[in-house]
Amino acid sequence: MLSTSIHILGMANNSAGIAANANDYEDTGWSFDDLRDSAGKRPGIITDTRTTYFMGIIPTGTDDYQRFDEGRINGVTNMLYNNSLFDRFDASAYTGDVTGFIGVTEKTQYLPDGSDSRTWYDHVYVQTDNSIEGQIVESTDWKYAGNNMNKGVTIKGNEYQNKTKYYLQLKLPDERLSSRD
Amino acid sequence: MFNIKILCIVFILSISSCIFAELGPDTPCIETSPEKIELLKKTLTSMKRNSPQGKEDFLKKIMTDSIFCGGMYTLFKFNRDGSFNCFFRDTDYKPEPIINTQGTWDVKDSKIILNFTGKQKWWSGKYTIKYYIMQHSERLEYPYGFLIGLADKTPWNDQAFFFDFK
Repeated sequence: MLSTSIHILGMANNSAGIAANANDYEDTGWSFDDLRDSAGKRPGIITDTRTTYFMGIIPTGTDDYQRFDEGRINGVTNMLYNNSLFDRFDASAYTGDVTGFIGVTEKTQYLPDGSDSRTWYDHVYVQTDNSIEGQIVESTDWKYAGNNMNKGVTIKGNEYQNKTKYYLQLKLPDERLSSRD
Repeated sequence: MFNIKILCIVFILSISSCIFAELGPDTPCIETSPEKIELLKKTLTSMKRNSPQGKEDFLKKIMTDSIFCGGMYTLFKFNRDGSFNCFFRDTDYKPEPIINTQGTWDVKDSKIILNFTGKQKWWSGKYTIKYYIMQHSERLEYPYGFLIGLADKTPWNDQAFFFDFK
């Protein structure tokens, strides 16, 4: 996956050189499904100052508040809607062999007070077994993992089953695909 | 008498601080209790999804005093007294701990009930358990995993609780 990200999609290593941040890259060198334009964008959080009012009328001062910026399409979303490299299908409807499939997960980010949210695709991983319950390989800078904090490329059990919205399959000639039911 | 009281308080505080020191955002989510591991291996079939219906007591038994990872962002410890501790890191690909929070927990009607306190109070809710499963692969350092999958999205963006064991 890391190799795919860096060498095909053109993502760069992060500062530590151990993982590609799929949330930080916007590629333009491929043909994309038009649905990409309406997909959720990864936002930043901005702290602004606003005027406060007494009884909604009389200005009393200012306070800081947080809001989302416009956001931008990230690397995961580019992968998801890349028509050149991948076939895409709904993960919830699929029950067959998932060997080599790329899982795409969704995230909803809330403001710290829960007053607003944005949803976008935040992470990709690869199934290394035929079963959705089996192992996955993923690349992260850090994350909570069962036996330690994961860094770099790791193989592990799949705790993303319920977060996975789509699977991607590399477009390959039939003879290069493993047999499926 | 006064000195004995002081000594008792110091002793209790020392024990408490030792217990508290074990839990932090980097605590591994590994189950080491031989009784719990035996119960899991004896009760569950590897890689088979189980319905939570009618199994609330079993799930509570497994969850009590265990540390669970949520996946990408959270770590929970479900304490015997009905409280829980939660460490949450909200940033993508960055390790800085952002929130250390707590609350109370229970398992009822196939749901994990979490009541958060403080600023995370709005995270409180009844989260439906979709299934629980014992994962198994001899290729991994910790060949077994116990995972509770949630049907509902959560404000902390993990949709599972799991730990590993040998």
